[in-house]
This record gives sequence, structure tokens and C-alpha cells, in this order.
Amino acid sequence: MSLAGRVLILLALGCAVFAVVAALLSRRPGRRIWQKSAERAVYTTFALMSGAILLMVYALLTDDFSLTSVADYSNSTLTWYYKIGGLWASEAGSLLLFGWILSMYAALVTWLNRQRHREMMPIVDAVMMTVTGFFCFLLSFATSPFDTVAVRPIQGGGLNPLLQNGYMMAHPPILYLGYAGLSIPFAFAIAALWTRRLDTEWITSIRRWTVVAWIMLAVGILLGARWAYGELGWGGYWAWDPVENAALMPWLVATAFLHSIMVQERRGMLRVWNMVLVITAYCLTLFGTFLTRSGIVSSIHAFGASTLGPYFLSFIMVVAVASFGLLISRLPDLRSSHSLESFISREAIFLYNNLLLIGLTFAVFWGTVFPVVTQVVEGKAITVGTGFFNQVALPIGLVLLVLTGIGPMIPWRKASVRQLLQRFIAPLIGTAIAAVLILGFTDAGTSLWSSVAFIACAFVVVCILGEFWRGTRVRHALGGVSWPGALYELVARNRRRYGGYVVHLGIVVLIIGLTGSQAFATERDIALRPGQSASVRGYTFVNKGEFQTSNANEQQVGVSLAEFSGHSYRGALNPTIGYFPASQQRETHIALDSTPLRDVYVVLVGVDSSGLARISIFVNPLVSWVWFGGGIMLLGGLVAAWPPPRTKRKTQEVAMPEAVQTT
Amino acid sequence: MTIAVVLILLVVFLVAASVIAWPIVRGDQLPDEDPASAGDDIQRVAEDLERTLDSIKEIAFDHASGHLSDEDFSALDADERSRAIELLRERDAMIPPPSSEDSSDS
Repeated sequence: MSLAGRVLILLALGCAVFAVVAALLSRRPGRRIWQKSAERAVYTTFALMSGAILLMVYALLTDDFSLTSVADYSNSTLTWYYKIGGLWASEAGSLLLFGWILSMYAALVTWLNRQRHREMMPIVDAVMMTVTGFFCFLLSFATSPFDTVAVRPIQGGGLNPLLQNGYMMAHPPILYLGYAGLSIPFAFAIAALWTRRLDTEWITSIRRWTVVAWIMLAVGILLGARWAYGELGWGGYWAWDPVENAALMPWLVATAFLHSIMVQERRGMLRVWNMVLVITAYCLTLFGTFLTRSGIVSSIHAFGASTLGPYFLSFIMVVAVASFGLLISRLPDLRSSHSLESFISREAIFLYNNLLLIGLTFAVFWGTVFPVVTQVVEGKAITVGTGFFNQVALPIGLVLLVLTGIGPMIPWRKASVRQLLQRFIAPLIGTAIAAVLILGFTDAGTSLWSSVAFIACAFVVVCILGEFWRGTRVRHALGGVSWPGALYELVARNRRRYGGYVVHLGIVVLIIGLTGSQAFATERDIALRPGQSASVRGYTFVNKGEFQTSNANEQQVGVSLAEFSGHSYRGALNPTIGYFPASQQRETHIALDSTPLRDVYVVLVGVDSSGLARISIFVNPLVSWVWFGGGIMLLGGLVAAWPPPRTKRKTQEVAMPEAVQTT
Repeated sequence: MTIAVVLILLVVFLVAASVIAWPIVRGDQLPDEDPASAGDDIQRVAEDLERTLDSIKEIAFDHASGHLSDEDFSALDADERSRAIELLRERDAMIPPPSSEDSSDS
């Protein structure tokens, strides 16, 4: 097993190197046939990496404890899906998964473009295979998932109890799909720079890929947050942890890119900026991988002792220097065809949005690396607390939120005062009504920032719904369709725009959840003997006594609490503490009563011999809106990324002369 | 067991090497100016044209829904239509004229 796995990865490395060389050689006169060979090498790399990962999964499922990755991260008592989860619990296994996803993307991109972009594809292949080859190199010479133990143990160490969670089964692979997905826009950007095909062709090619990577990153981040909420037992879901930040940063830059490419497509502007964003987003994905594996930051999400830091740091340096060097050499070819005509225009709003997103990214970056910098300069790490991040993110986030509403309402090129009044009078009236309702009938007025956030959310919702209304009305006025049909056609004919608006709605819902759960959360520590009760924010909890359960993998001790809201019984909450004999670790299992308005979140801290249960109770308003908002974002992203029907192109080709003849 | 694994890996290596090297070993030659690259250019122009036509429709839609003033609509629409005409000419220049045989057949 070990030999086979190692050889497959070595062969994949050989294929990746060959693909790079052959793809570059194919650009020389008389050697075009080498590109065919390079394409086959890309597919073969994917096949070999697939073989390696299948072997690893087989080893995990069959409890092959002769492999270190299996002996240390799995055991025979785990259910089959947690055994597979052992793949990304180990550093080497997670690298194998990352490398396999990269090779899959490379094969997919090569296959889908086998008849297109003939000038760019050799460079795209070369870039993607360089990155895949780097991972194969690490898996061959730095850390291997197929390392063997000196003496095969009878039983494995088991999966970290924190990782034995459904969300953790999905979070890492989806996040990797996002990270690795950003290598595609990067590869096309480098190919466009290399071949000097710097028109909008490369942007059209990668727009959908970028949306897919963006969705995966967003979903991956939210799944990680949901895991932290359910598993870590501190009542929250986001702690500005360095590794959480590492995933957030490329997502922020990709968000900026998805907005700024519209300016390039429509107005031929921001061409250099778009290149900078693509390269930066990709370097940040590498930086995130470096942070998780370098051991330079302490994080619950990071792998422990690791020797991979210098490899990743060197690779990031090479990628950044080579990419920005290439970009600088092409600056004369990247002149914009238009300039900004007004600071109140759609393109200007996109520019502000970009500057804020990049500003936020820089602040998060600085807060993340500051402990490392102080460690190097002063000899001791000065930790940056959540206060710093919240202080920076809150105002920037609010302005970004308001721009989300303003942007679609402002015309391209320039807007007159009269136009602005016409466009904004209705949304402002709607927002004023919403503000009265929010301040008059909710607790929002007790916190200035949350009031501002909720009112800003109302403004954005009114603006977006107004956009849907205006568009539907125009479509309906064209005749022949009902109102629902007009709405459907509106979205179907411009998925990108209206899918984007749905994403914006999702972000609003998410921010409502963030604001509610951050500003109005209540936390209380209580101690209850059997039969005693305590009240927290309108909820009463009665200790019904201790209980114990066990299975082959875990022994649990818990407390049963009867939960009442006022006088009405809501149900039993059973928080527990689990002990995992295989790994000799303890873990708390929270009890959660979740409703759309608030979560009651109960953590058992301990039970002493007299039956006294120490319990932490959190009442977190609107948390489920965070997850629901994420779902809406996913839906909007899918609408935006969904390819148009194949008949559309043909129809347009037929319609081409007609559309232009009207000039 | 180990010998069987080595043999299987050897077969995998040979298959992989053959698949990859086949186009080169067979001595296939592709002209530097691949006839398909002309098709690639036509496709590029067609996609650019598609984008431009989408823009024309979007601008008209923005105008109809009140997002663009008459003046801005005229300017943006004229820009995009000029671009579309330019692309149509470029596309027409790329498509070879029908041969005399084709003409006689028709």
C-alpha cells in the first residue's frame, strides 16, 4: 500500500513536470504537437492522483494501521465517514486532497478548453501543473500520507473528537475546492499576460470559475463557522482566528475582483487592477495554506508541528515575484480604454467597493501577521484581539453594505442630482418606514451600531427589491408574459446580474444575523443541583438529573434540563461531556434549541460527585439568519454561475445583424 | 505481494508513458499556423460579439428601467454598436469567401 501510494504520487510529479515542459515547448515553431502530449500528461496526473487518493481512502476504510496517517488519525471503532475524514485530519492527507483537487481542476479546464484558447492553454496548463507539481513534490519529499509506522499498532489513535462532526466532513473539502479553484483565474491571468491577449477574452473565460471558487470559499467558511458554533462550546462562531482569517482574505479579494471585472467588461477600465486582484487572491490562498501548515500561528484550525512552512513561503515568494514581474512588463499593453468620468457613477461605486474590500483585507492581514512580526522584531508575540478586527470591520462593512444598495441604482458613466433624487426617493422613504419599525418595535435602538446596521440592511433590501420590481415591470410591459413569467424571464435572461442581487440579499440576511447575535447575546454561568431551576432572559431551566451513555468510541456524562419559555414547556436539553478512550480526549457536546429569532445554547462545564451541574447558557438572537443568509448566497451564486442554455449562442448569431442593423 | 505491487506499478508507468508520449512518438505534425487557430480566432470574435450584443441589450434594458438618461444611453449604445459593427467586419474578413465550385453548386 505504502509503496504503491508513494510511486503513484512520484509518477504524478513526473507527469506534472513533463506537462509543464511540453506545454512550454509547444509554443516553439514546429512543436505544436507537444501540446497534445502536455494535455495527456495533465489527464494522466489527475488519474495518478486519483489512484493515490483512492488508495489512501481504502487504507482508512480497512484500518491499515501500518500507515502513520491511518494509525494516528483513525481507529476501527469510527463510523465509515469519520474514517474518511481522517484523510484531511492529517497534514499529509490534507495535502493529498488539495493536490488531487488541483489536478482535477487542471484536467477539467484542459478538457473544457481543448478546442478553445489555443494560444493561452499551453500557459494555463503549465501554470496549473506547476502548482500541482509543487504539491506532488511536497507529498513525495516533505511529508507523505503513505509513511509507515515502525511497529503496526493493534488500534489507531482515533480522529480528534472535535473533528467528529458532520460539518467537519464537508468544511475542509469545500474550502479546498475554493482555494484550489482560484488557481484557474490565476492561470488564465498569467496566460493572458504571457501571450499579451489582454482584451476581455481571459476575463470571460474565468468569470464562471471565479464565481464557483467564490461560492465554495463562502460555503466552506460558513460551514467552518457552523462547526465552531456547534462544537467548540464558547457560544460563538467567528473569533478572527488566524486560520479563519486566512480563508476570509482571498474571499474578500475575489469579491472585489468579481465586481471590478464588470467595469473592465463594460468600460474597458481597471485592467491592471483586475490583474493585481487575481494575483493577490491566489497569493493569499497560498498564504492561507502556509499559515495553516507553518506552525507560526496558534490556531485550533492549524496543524500542529509542521516542517512545510519554508516550502510554502518560498513558493509564495516565487509566485508573487514572477507574477507581478510579468504584470509590470505588460503595463504598456494594459492601458484603459476609458477613464472615470464622474465620482458618482456605477464604475466609481465599484471602485469604492474595491478599495474598501482591499482595505479590509489589508487590515485583516495585518492583524493576522502582527503577532508574527512582533515575535520576530521584539521577541514576543503581541496578540491582536477580536476588538481590533471588529473595530475595523464594522465601519468598513457597514459602508460596503450601503454601497451594495446604492451601486445597482447608479447609472454607468455619471449621475445627475435629478437622477439621484428620482432613483433614491422611494428607497429612502421605504428605509425611513423600516427605521421607525426597527427602532419602535425591537430592541435594536439600545445599540447605536446595531441600529445603523439594521437600518442599512433595510435600505439595501428596499433597493434590491426595487430593482427586481423595475426590471419585472419593464419585462412585463414588453408584453406576452404574466407577472411571475416576467420575473422568471428577467432572472433567466440576466442570471449574472439578478443572481448577484440574490447574493446581496443573502449578505443582508447574514449581516442581520451577525448583528443580532453579536450585539444582543446573553451569557450566564449557573450551577444547579437536581430539581433546582434558574432563569436566563425569559427562559427557565430545571435540572432533571444526570445521565450516562456510552458506545465503542465514546463515553458520555450529561445533564437533562427541562426548558421553559415563560410557563410553556419547550423540551429537554441534554448537554454532555464525552470521553474518547482511543485518543484519551474530552469534548463537550452542546445542547441547542434553535428558532429563527434566537438560539438557546447550553454547555455542560462539569458535574461533581454530589450531582451539582455547572452549566453555561447563551441566548443568541438571530444566529440562524447567518446560516440562512449563507444558503441564499449559495443560491444566488448558483444562479449567477449557471451557464446559459446552449441554444442561446446560436439564437444570438442569427440575431446578430438585426441587432446591429438598427444603427 | 510486493512483487505483484511492483509489477502493477510498472504496468501503470508504461501505460502512463505510452499515453503521454504517443502523439510525439507517432511523429504527428501539426502546422504552426493551426487551421483550427483560425477557428479559434473566429470563436473569439464571435464571443466578443456575443458580449457586445449582450451589452447593447443590457443598456437598452437599463434605459427602459430608468437607469440611464437619454444622453448616456445614446453615448453608451453608440459605443457598443460601433464595436459590434467592427467585430462583424472582423468576423467577415476571417471567413474565406465561398469558392467558385461552391458558387456553381449553389
